[in-house]
Amino acid sequence: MAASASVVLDGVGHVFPVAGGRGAVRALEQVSLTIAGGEFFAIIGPSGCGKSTLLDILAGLLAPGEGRVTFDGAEIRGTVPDGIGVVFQDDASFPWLSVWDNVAFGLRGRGLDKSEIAGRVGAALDFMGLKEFARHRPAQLSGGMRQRVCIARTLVLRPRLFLLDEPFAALDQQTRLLMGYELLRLWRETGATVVLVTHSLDEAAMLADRIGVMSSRPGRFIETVATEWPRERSSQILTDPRFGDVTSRLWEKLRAESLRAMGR
Amino acid sequence: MKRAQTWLDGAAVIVAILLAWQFLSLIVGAHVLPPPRATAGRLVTLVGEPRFLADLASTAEAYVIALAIGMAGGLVLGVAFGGWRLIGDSFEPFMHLLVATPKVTLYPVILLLFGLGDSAKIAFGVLHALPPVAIMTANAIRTVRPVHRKTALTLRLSPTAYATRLLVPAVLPDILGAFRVCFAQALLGVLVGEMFASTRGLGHLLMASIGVDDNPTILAIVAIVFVFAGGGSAALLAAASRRKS
Ligand SMILES: Nc1ncnc2c1ncn2[C@@H]1O[C@H](COP(=O)(O)OP(=O)(O)OP(=O)(O)O)[C@@H](O)[C@H]1O
Ligand SMILES: [Mg+2]
Repeated sequence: MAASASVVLDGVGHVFPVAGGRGAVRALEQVSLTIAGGEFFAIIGPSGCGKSTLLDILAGLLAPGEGRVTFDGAEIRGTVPDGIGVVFQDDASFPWLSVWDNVAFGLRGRGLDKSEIAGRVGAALDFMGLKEFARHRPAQLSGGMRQRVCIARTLVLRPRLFLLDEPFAALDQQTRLLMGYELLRLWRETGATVVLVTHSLDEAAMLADRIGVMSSRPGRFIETVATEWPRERSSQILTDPRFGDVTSRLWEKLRAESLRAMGR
Repeated sequence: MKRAQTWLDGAAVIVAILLAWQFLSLIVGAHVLPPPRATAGRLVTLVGEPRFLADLASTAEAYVIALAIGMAGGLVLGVAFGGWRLIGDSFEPFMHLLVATPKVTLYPVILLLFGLGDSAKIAFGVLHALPPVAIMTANAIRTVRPVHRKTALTLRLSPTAYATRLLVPAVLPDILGAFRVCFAQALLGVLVGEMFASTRGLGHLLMASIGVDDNPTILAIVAIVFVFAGGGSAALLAAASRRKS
């Protein structure tokens, strides 16, 4: 497939001022990375290393203090461009709306006609296994289901770039595995570029084309590992001997950084 | 089913209040505390008196105006305080001060500014009603979750769409709560305003009745206020809980 660059990060850094004006937290330093169009890229790194900050910058929610970011050739700088969909680490469902209305939220006010909206929402609910819960409120769902609502809400907008920040953190291992495969299916069927932040080495190794390993704060990429899985991949990957190679390479890199992040 | 239960609970409370009232009246004497029946009788004759109706209308008018100004003004100030940090930091402490001050102490100032009359009691009602609404609205806006704000940005909502489709529904439960406080505080403010310096209204009638030891009239007025405030508050609570379910 034509691997035109989708996202280019060039020397990106960011410092957060600390409330009260004394001191500052450097979250990111010299992050450079190119993600190809249609690539599935996973990011792993110790807690607090700046993964969510990096995703905010990629989404255009936060202007980087240093460096520049481009998406499909245009610079992103603190405003969200069209074609980017984000699923956040925290539950972002709207408690005052039904599941259906949550998913339709971003489609309204865009000049789409009713049947188009209904069609897209229905398909997304189906895809995420939420069909029977269309009339429920988020409060009546589990944390994992709420996260699926948020994924569906992003999905209906058909983004070219999907940014997901630990979307499955609230799920049990088996649901997580299934959701991982759903994400793969989504990626294959939409042809979108996916950037997935995850805490799980297995998840990263199983799903991604490449995995970027971040250092402890200030975060930067210390290694990128390519998995070379075929695009049509399935759970057989788990039994592939190369799967073990990938995870042990990731762990080797991450171990020292995680210890450092914990102050040892 | 649940509705019938709530209704029964409400009825039980009313019966309990009436019984306690009757009992207390027996103990302290009917001339000091007229029993429910006598009060009801007085209420019926009061309603037939044109003077009373004029007082009632005067209070109702002042109340509605104070409620409207308190709510609208409180909302506008609250949005400004909550939406712009600089404005909030500079002026919100002033609202907290107003809430904490016994407002009766400000009455001379109000009288100086508005003179003796309807505008003074409306101003007094607003003084009670507006600050809590402003504070509650500001807090509601500040507690809009950051992840919801980020979501709005990634969904590329226009500022108007953000306000109407996210901000308003997110803060609505708190605004309903603020309205309940406003509802009670405006009434308090107007009545107290009438009691201290006014020539008409229920508050004034109450004061006049106290002056001549007309206990049945006093109790009749208290009963009216009680039923109105209690009923209104219960209705607003019910509206709020209906929204939640
Ligand atoms: N708005 C902010 N203001 C100040 N500091 C911040 C802010 N957001 C993040 N930080 C700091 O920046 C660093 C990176 O935070 P970030 O949330 O990006 O980490 P993370 O890698 O996503 O962590 P986790 O794995 O726990 O989600 C942390 O030290 C955090 O305290
Ligand atoms: Mg994070």
